[in-house]
Amino acid sequence: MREDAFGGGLVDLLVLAAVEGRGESYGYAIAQDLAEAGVTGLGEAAVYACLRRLHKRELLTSRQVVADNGKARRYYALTPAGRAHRDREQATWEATRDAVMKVLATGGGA
Amino acid sequence: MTDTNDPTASSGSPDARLGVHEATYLAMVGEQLDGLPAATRAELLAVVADHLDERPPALSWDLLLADLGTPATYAAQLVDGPIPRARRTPKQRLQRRRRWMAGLFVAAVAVGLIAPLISRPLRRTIAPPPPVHFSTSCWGVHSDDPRFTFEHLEAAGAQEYRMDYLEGATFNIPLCLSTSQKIEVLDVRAFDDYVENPGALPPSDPRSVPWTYPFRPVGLAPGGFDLDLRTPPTEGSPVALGPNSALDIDLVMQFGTCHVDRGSRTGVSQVMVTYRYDGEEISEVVDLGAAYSVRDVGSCTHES
Repeated sequence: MREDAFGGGLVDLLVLAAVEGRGESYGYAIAQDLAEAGVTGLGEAAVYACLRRLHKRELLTSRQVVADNGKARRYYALTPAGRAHRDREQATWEATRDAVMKVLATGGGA
Repeated sequence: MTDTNDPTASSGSPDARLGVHEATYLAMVGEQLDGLPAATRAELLAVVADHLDERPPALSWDLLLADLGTPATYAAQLVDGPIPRARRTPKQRLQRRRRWMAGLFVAAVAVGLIAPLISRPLRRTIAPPPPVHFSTSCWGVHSDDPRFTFEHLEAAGAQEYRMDYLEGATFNIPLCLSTSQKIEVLDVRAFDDYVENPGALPPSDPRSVPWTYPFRPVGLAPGGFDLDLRTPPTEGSPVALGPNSALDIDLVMQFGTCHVDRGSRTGVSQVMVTYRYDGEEISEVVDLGAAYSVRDVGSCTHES
């Protein structure tokens, strides 16, 4: 997918869904999951920027786990508000998708 | 392990946790963010540090750039908008102007000196140096640590060493390194080829234990490495290696905490050699003569 195909709402939806899919996940794993699902064109930096944004809006909680060798991972999980936002974004995306499919099939109009 | 819920706190300085390439990248992204308010900049850099810490270590600067883009591109994605340019004080503007004037002067002098030379009819052409090829000629593991056992497998000419261990166990991998050109070896280190299984146990599962770097080279100091008795120790100094000699190195590896993670595999099949050749410092990945893998599913146990 082209990078400019990602509006802010779609990125939020993808990241929230990826986090929810694992229950709890960290940035690099989320980026890998999205890439494996075929979501290309969304850079790792954009994923981390989205996580930061969602965390600031309290749609995600986070905790950092540091292993004995000093390497760290920050795990994110959805808050109830995050789940509600995810549901709203999914509804928006599905409505958009349906409208696009309708236009492609019929050329739009009534 | 430590656990903190503070989103802006991190354990230890990010630069101390990061590899050389990652630390450099972080600093360069930081420069791109200089025009932002200090608090915002610090917050964004913490995000970048998290990212760089969570990724597997970069094998080279070029590969890091290929994955993440330039620091400028990365910074733009973080901010998602134009980054204000840092304001310069009058003193900084004057210093910048003086640097420009000095640069123009030096360039003018250089052109005046070089022009007569390049106008000569006979010019020597400099051929690029021949490429460096590495090979490793010995393999196997040995260990005096009772917490470590291994099984040697061989099939279709390929060798594999499957290892069982308890946390903290150490073992040695001999590495007989030879090269096609005369170089100065600066550092040799190994890293894990960890492959994460999408079906792995989630971190919240009490049966799983986080594991980021299962192998930690012991005895491989940034400026040197442990050598066997045939080659004198040169910790902190480069070691000359030529086409007619081989460098015997014993990689001392230690297992960190383990991850009960069905389907995952990790191991060592390569080392990274940093060397100096033709005036350049280069890091290159070299395949070992054998792959060393940790047996998946239930082989990793904790000391009781």
